[in-house]
Amino acid sequence: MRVIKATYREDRKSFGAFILSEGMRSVTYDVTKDIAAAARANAPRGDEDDGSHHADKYVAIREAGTLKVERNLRVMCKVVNDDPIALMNEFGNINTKRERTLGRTGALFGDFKPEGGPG
Amino acid sequence: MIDLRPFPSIETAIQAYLLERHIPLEDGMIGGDFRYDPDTMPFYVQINRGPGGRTGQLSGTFVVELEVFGREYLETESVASAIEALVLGYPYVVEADGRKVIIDSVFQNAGVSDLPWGDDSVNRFSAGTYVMTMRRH
Repeated sequence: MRVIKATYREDRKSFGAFILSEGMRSVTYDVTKDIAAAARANAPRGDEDDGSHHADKYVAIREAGTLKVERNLRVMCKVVNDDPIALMNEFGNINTKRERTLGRTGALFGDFKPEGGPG
Repeated sequence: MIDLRPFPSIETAIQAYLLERHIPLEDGMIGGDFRYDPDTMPFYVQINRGPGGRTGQLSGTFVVELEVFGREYLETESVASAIEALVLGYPYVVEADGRKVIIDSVFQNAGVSDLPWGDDSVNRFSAGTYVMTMRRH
């Protein structure tokens, strides 16, 4: 019988290029858009609705650089909201309870999603 | 003192870790509730669990948010930066609820930044948002 030895060697350089590729960014961006849409739906809304409500200002940013996880770089996209009311809503202040709209919404996706969650 | 909400093991572990290090913290100056008193405390560190993670009592993955409240802007910022450096210095072993636990990985999602508080006499800094894994030692 002839013994054939496996000679597989992982190609870390190619995998690194793949994980930082535009294709991977597109997949990440799709999830980011889903999170932004969910945040818009989940944000608390008052009675006022003149088309400029802070809840409508959650947007997905495709080109947000990279994130280092341990020693590995990963593509990063972001959900942002530049409305000061969204800041107060997310972090609270002396007079306002912290709602964590974006934090709670983000936790529904990816590795942290509960059983049956979206994403 | 009456705890208004439970203070789970991950927060107890981080509290113990920060108290035993060189940050000039004492009991009462760090906790899970907002107990900052500008008249008696130079600063106060608040430990919060964020949404997300999969956890048991002493093991799992946790999202932790740390905030520092203080009188002096620069001192508050420097305490927040010192906490960030300490927390990122994983792994570490600490005692929580009578058991030794190891925090064996820490990823930072957001770094030190100042946050509005709505009271000009109080400075508020986020000392970072972290994803941590903890297990029994």
